[in-house]
Amino acid sequence: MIPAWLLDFGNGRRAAVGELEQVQLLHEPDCHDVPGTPRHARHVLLWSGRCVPVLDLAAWLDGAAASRERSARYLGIYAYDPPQHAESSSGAEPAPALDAAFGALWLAQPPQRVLVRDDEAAPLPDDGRPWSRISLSCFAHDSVRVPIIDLRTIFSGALNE
Amino acid sequence: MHAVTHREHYALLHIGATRLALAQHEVRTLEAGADVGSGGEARLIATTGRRWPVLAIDDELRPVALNAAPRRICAMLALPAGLFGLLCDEVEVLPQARTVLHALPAAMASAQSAVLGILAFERGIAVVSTAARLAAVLRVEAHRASYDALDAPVNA
Repeated sequence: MIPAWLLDFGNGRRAAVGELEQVQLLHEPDCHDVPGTPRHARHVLLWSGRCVPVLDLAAWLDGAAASRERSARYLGIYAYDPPQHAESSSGAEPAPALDAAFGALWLAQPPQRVLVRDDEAAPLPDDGRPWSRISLSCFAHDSVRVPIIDLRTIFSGALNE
Repeated sequence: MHAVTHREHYALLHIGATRLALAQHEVRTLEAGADVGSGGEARLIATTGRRWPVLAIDDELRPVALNAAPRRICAMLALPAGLFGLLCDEVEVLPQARTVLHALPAAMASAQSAVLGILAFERGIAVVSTAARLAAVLRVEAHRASYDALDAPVNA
């Protein structure tokens, strides 16, 4: 059984990250709007001396159909290995390195801790959203397919292409 | 993104609700927005003995027609090939000691955006750019071509 955090972006859009990747949860934090940036990446959070990018994955997943109003009120902060470290990492789910990079995601609800079994592996949701671009794999939880997000990819700028 | 060590004083251009930070040495002079004149399709301003193109941008740093958002000040920004004007509402200087510079996170970067960094100061944040980046994104050279025929020395 592998522990993970179940993330709810609202309107049934759910995904998961590894247990050790979640660092902090904030409620209605004071984020800064950054003009001239993609709609799904409009905010930064000044946190622990860092400038942390804040992504609205719901807006990116829904594209042009996304609501202009963001319902998410929680902000999850996540650690991940930046690309230069990830090349040399080994093991199924190592903890991010001490000099990890950080990013944040808007959430509609606080994350829920779940335990995932190997036999719960499942195909990605076929809801028309581009899950394959941001997912490492997928499992089924309460009959719902839950993609596991590749944090390094979503915070790399790949969503802007 | 950790803070980046820097020694710059920044000029803060107020453009509607947006705060645009440029290294102070890139802002060569400040002119009155009312002095911007028409030169064919381009808007021009005469200063330092020549005419230079003037551009306006909105809160999202997108180019807009000059009359779409009247602004009081024309900040003249320095390029290797000369100057161009950028209209704004207000300009203030932020001393280096009162600012913290961050690189723009990769998740927010785009080749089409003028934003290169985030400057944190006591009243919030500003987006950081350079005159060269603004000129490229706003296609200043295209505007320059449209007024080259007028680009003769201005008689006092």
